Amino acid sequence: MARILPLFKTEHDLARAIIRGDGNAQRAFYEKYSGKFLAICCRYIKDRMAAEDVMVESMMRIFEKSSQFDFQGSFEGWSRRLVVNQALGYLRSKKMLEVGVEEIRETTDTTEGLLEAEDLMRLIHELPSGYRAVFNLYAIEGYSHAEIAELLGISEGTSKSQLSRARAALQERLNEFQFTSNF
Amino acid sequence: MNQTDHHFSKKLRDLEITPSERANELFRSRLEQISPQKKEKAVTKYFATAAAVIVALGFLVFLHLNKDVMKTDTAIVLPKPAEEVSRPETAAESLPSESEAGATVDEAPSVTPGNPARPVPAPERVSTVKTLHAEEENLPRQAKKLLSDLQSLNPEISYRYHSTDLTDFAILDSHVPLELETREPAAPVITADEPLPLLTRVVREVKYVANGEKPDLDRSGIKPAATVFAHNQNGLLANESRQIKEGFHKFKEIFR
Repeated sequence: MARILPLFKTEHDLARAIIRGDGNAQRAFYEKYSGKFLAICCRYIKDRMAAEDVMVESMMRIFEKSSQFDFQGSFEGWSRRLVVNQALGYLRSKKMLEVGVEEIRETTDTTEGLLEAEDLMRLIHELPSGYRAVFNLYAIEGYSHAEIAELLGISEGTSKSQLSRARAALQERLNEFQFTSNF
Repeated sequence: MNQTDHHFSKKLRDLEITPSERANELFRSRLEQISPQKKEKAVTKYFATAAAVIVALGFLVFLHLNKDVMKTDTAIVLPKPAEEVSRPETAAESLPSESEAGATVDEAPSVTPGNPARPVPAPERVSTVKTLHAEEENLPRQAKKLLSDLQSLNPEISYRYHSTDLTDFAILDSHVPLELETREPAAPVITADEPLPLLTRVVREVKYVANGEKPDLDRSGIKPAATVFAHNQNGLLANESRQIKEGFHKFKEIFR
């Protein structure tokens, strides 16, 4: 796709053009943010193709709801929240967002470097979807437990317990990586 | 946020994953699905706007064409004040010849030019038409009062007073958007000659005879009592008998 982003000098210019329904602005927005939004979707959804579908669907939803943007904050931040909601909606529709005590599956593929983003992503993907959603929302997106509880339809206590379990699982996996890498 | 959270956040928050060509194609196809709808909406909006403009222009043209109908000129015929009626010169001047009267009647539409469909019938004895304004001193008091009343009702309407020098009428002309009653032309009154009294007829007949003419009772409508009261063979008066015969003949002719 051709780079047409320079036509829109600021993020709010881009947002205004999207609100007007400008096709060039929509393509520019996709060019700029599709990678970031796909990464968000991939953190929540293990299946890459499904994550891409959700990302494209999120883009359409952003264009559709852009008139609701009040220009108070960042358009990217507003869009990110829509993408997260879309990903959670996908998990909910596939009944993959059942937050509860789930068994953490053991993984055998632990030979890659610890601090690489792909490895971290793989570790996150090893978590049960409920843990993963809470960890992503709290640790990476910066949501509060109250917001997470509202988003996922659970209590704040459940959100906190899910987060601590997710952290414990991830810490355990990281220790395993460190132990493996020391040898 | 503990160290694990920070570690993951730092590495993953700004992570970008390039979408596959399949995702790009999917996006393009979805975008094309949206665009035609927007184009259709835009076209519909333009057509609606154009239709609204055409309707508005049509309405304006309609108003323009019917402006004369809406602004109806109306003449009000008022009784003229007594002082004007009694003026001898007015009465003298107010008896024009027939040709002058006709000309004045023809000029009547010029008094109300905006109403060709319903010309106000001019009075029969109009001699001249003189336009006076409400401010003028010699305006009749009654007309002046009416003018002031009308103008107080609607100051945007201008009124003119036409003194027609009638013996007993004046015309108040105005641009009033109201339909006021117009005077229908008076039907010509046919006055039948009343029969003269019998004594007069007898005296007149005697004068004819005195002048040497032959007496003619039919001329004066005098019938002798012998004729009037003569009975025929049926016992009817002659006049009655003749009437019955005539009626019977008419009846037969009708059914023949």
